[in-house]
Amino acid sequence: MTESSSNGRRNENDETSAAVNRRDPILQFLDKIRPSGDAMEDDNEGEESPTELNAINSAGGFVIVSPDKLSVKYTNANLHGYDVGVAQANKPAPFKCLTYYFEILVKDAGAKGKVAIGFTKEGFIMRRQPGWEVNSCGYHGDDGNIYLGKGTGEAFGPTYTTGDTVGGGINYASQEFFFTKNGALVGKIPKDIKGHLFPTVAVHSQNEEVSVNFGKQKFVFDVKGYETSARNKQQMAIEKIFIPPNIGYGLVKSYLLHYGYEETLNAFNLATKTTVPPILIAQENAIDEDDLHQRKTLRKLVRNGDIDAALANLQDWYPQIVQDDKSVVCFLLHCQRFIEFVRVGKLAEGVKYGRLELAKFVGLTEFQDIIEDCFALLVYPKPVESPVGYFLEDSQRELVADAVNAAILSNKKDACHLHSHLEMLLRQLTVCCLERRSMNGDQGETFRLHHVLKQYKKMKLD
Amino acid sequence: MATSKKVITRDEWEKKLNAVKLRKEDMNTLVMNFLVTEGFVEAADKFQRESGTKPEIDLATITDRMAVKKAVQNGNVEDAIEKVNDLNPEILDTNPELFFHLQQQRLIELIRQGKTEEALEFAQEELAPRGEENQAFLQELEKTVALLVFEDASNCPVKDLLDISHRLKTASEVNAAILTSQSHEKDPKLPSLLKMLIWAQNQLDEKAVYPHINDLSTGQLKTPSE
Amino acid sequence: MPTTTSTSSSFSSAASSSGNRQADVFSRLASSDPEVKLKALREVKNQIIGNRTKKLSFLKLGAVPAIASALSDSECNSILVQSAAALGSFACGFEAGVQAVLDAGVFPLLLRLLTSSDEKVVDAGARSLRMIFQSNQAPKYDFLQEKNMKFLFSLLNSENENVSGLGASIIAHACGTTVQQQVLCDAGVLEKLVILLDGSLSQREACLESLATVLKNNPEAVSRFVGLEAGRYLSSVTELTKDRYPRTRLLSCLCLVVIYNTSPSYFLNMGTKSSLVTTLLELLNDHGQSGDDAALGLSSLIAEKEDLQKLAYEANAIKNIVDILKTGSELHPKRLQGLFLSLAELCSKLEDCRCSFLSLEMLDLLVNALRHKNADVRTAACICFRNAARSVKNLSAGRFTNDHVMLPLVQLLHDPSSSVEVAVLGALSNIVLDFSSPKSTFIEYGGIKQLIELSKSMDPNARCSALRALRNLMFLADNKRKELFYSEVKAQGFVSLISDPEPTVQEQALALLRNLVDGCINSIEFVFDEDGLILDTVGKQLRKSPQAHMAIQGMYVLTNVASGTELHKEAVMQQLFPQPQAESNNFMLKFLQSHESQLRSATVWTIINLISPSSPGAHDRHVKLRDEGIIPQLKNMVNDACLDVKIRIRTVLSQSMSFGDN
Repeated sequence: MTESSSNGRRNENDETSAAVNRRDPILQFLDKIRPSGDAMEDDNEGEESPTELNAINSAGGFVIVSPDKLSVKYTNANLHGYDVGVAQANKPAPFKCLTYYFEILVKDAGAKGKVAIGFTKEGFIMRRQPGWEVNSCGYHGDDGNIYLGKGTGEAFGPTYTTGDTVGGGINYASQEFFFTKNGALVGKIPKDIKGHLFPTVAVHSQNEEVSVNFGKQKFVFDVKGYETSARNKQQMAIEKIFIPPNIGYGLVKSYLLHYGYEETLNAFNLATKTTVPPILIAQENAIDEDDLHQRKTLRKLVRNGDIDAALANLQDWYPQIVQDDKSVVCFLLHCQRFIEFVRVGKLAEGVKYGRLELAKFVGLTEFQDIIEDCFALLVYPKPVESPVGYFLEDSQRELVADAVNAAILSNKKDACHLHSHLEMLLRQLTVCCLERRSMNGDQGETFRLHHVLKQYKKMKLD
Repeated sequence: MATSKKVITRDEWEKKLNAVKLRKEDMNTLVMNFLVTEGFVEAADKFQRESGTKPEIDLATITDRMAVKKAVQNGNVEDAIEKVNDLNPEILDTNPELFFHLQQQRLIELIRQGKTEEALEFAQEELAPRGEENQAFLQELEKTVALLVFEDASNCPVKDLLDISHRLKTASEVNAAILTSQSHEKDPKLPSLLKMLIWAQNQLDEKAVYPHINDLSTGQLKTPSE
Repeated sequence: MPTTTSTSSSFSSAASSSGNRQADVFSRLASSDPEVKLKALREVKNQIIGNRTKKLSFLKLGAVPAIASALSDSECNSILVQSAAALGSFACGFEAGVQAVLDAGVFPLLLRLLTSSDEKVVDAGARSLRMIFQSNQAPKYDFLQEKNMKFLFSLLNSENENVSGLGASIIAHACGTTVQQQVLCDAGVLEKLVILLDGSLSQREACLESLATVLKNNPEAVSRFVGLEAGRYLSSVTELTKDRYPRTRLLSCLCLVVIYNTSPSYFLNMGTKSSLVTTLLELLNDHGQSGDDAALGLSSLIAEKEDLQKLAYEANAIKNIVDILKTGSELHPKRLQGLFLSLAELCSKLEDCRCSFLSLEMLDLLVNALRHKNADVRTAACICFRNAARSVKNLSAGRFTNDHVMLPLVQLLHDPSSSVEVAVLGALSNIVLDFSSPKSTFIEYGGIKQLIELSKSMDPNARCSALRALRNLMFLADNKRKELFYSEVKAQGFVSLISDPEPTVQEQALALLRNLVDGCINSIEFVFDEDGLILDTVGKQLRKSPQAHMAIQGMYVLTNVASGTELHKEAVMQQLFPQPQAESNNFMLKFLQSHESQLRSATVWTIINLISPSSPGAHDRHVKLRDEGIIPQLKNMVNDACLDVKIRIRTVLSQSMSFGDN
């Protein structure tokens, strides 16, 4: 938005988004304070996985599900194509992960060995082999073919029979089904079915018996290894991409500038200038460096817990920011002042300060819950160990400092950089990954910076 | 294909961008990782103080590593070798390729300074035995010695060796070897995340039309021309 | 050519000036001025690190003892650090250096450094000791002594990664016997080592190496290791096979190979097996030491395991290996050995492998390897030949029978290394088996003579293999060849082979004899040479209650002889029932009661030939056999568990009926 816009429609968009930004550039910091903000990030944990077969919904009369609900047996002498013994898992395959996988062991191939493994949708006709009906897929033991909801199967892999362990899996990243036999990958096939899929087994001749392993026992196939090599393959493709050399330097520099890490920036500038040859960093226009020192000073004060001084300096340097004493920045600073009283055990003074400065925010919906949480600090003899102990962590100060910094930046005439360049790139990366995932029906792993960094640390420390 | 692509407007896209939750600590960690891996010890130290981010390795080890790197960048290869050996004598004793490249760089510096006799002596004494041990080294050695044949190196087909970028290449090779000996990743995380961004955009391009970031250095969104 | 002169003069001056400089530095090592000494030590260190030639020339100057005395005399930490580092570098990847360092008596001096309060001194000492312990020449470490074990644990417990890494290196170097493994396990070494798995790169690598040595061929140690925290560390090692450092990947693979070879039951998971195979295959492409070691690791993993060979074959192992061999660059002997052994294993059982191997047209490479200067490579190439030649289809296609292949093989029969001899004999036995043309080529090159020479080798394995080859060579051979052969060995030669101290050699000698006297009447005459010396020896051996395998071959010799003339049959009877009978129990009765069905069968065959109705003396011999209790014994065996024996016995009994015996 620094460049002059070339078409009207975009101008309009710019205005609306700018308006959104203008209204709440600092509001986002309130969300960051709320502890629930983080919980959202781990939403793929706690997804339920199949644990057993659904004994109720299986094709009654043809098939017996064992009491532990982990094996099925076909008891009838089969008659026609509508008396297949099918059993689905009790839950659909989880999908917020790279792969899902389960295995069956053919205990007895029975009279004809018409065992099948595959995936079906919730409303599947339980008297038909997986793969015979649309929206289902099955790898069949008698012919080794794969059936994908068409009339006939396609040649796929070897047949399987008594004593064989066969596995079915979904690779959500590549959107493929894959099957294994006795620990070796048989093959993969594109997955064209959307939505929840249930792991499914079928038996269709007398005495056929199959047991299912949903992961309670160790799989015969090395799923972890499969996942690792899938990830490595992707990583290798990524590493091959060319980016301009030294581009990281400019991003780090603008990041430091954006957040007012002045001393780091100076040290960094000095160091890059003295390398041989000096590293050229693209010149930054959007943020001038005039206020850098002031922003740095404010950050330092907040980080040291000296909120009074920070407020006083703000009053001097940026009166417009503290003009509205019900602004988000003011609220955050007053909260922090209160927190600092608690930190040093000056509870009475804290209460006094709270009545004076925080009472005016009571009743304003966006602040109400945070005030309550803040005051909850008074209840606990050891506030640090309490459920609201996060207020006393170092990151809380950093957050308030960031909010002050953001308020100053957004107050400028040409303010458009709510986020640093680095952050914008990371946001773009996250959204691209999310979007691609949503086009796959939200299946597969999400990109999270936190996980990438954690993974890295794990590799190093473990 | 193009007809089935989903179109996402800039407005929608920006809403999505704003909805992303990024932790400040994570970004700080990323920046710290960059400073530490690239060896900006002063900056890393200041950053720790200004942001409270903990560096992942002892900052003292960076100083030594950077001294080595800088020595190579300045053309003081002998000095660099001595410093590596002080840091950990195993590095060059167990990494013949790196040792050869450092010695080769030493030869290049001698040639650059016009010390022809000394260069020849050095090639004979130090590099030729390495060439005997390894066919690939011999070829590189021959290539390097070819620099001597040309009075004016700028006409030489192997003049790249004299380029400053070759020093940088050698310097980053030593840097990586020292990092590895310290059980640390040899590359910073940031560039590979940037590569991942390009990759992710390429992947999404197959299915959707949406605002791109084409210039990594500014992070500007560009609405694709439809 | 003024330029040439100046260049060459500068070269010669270069050589001499560098020599002078080294002598100069060397002399300064002995300086009494600590500053000068320190500087000289650093100089030596910096000159020799990474530089084998310099190591050697300083070694020749006597630098090692000079540095050792600096180490022992000084209290100055910098001097200690520099001298320890220099000594460590002498010992790094340079066997002559290790020798010199140990000879200089620095071992206790370096150990002393570990107790220093200066971390840098400790680092330098530990690093140098680690270098020394990477060599086979390092002193053995007696774990059985309590103080040594205590010291080892103090190393393993150290916070300093170089020191704890040293502890692991000592184990990797010095633990060899089951007793040592046991003592280490009982002392809790596994529990200590697994902590290092989570440590730094160098700790991890040292730990994986020592784990492999402690677990090797020791099921108890393996079960203990796997039992730690419910298999957590087995998973850790498995995960490390995907590490980003190739060396770590390799060492964890080798560790798993050891565990697998020791206790395969922990590897029921096919996926783990196949990923182990693929990881090792990928590592083969590593240009460094990891690639060299991966080849041997692979061959050890798939040795005698058909399922893994199949996995490797399906993972395109043969093509991978052949591609590496074909790159043309000079490969490390260890890598060549490993690659050929892996190919050999792949071809040991699976015919598909043999065909695909031979279709890749790499016989030339294999033939070149037969001439390699390293004996291990030659051995591996021979084994590879032997297993590839198990393919009857390819043998009959005459792939191995040209001069190009046969000549180098026959030449290897003179090889100075006995392991090469044994291996080449294995290859030759398979190639000469059953086909006429290779035999003649082989004989043309004087192969028979060479084999006879080898059959007198000091090495029992060589004797055994030579006899096996000869045995194949005599199988269905024409009389001309048999005579040629016999004229070289003579009765006396045979007697000594049949009475060899090694039972396996005796067995092969008898098997050879069995083939020799098989067929036409003329060939039976060999055993009657020199008053039936050979036949007497065979009889003597049979009467000594030999092992079943030997007895089988002996009885077949008698069977073949008994197929001859009346005279021959009577001679056999003489051996079966010598006068006077020494023992009350005839050995034939024992053989008939043997658990070994083949021995029962061989014995029955002899009887069939002895009482074959067409021969005039059959009736008398039958009477003798009946009186000695042989025929009644056979009557008890009409329902023998072995079908073959059962049928043969029925033949004898029907013959017996014809003599009026009921």
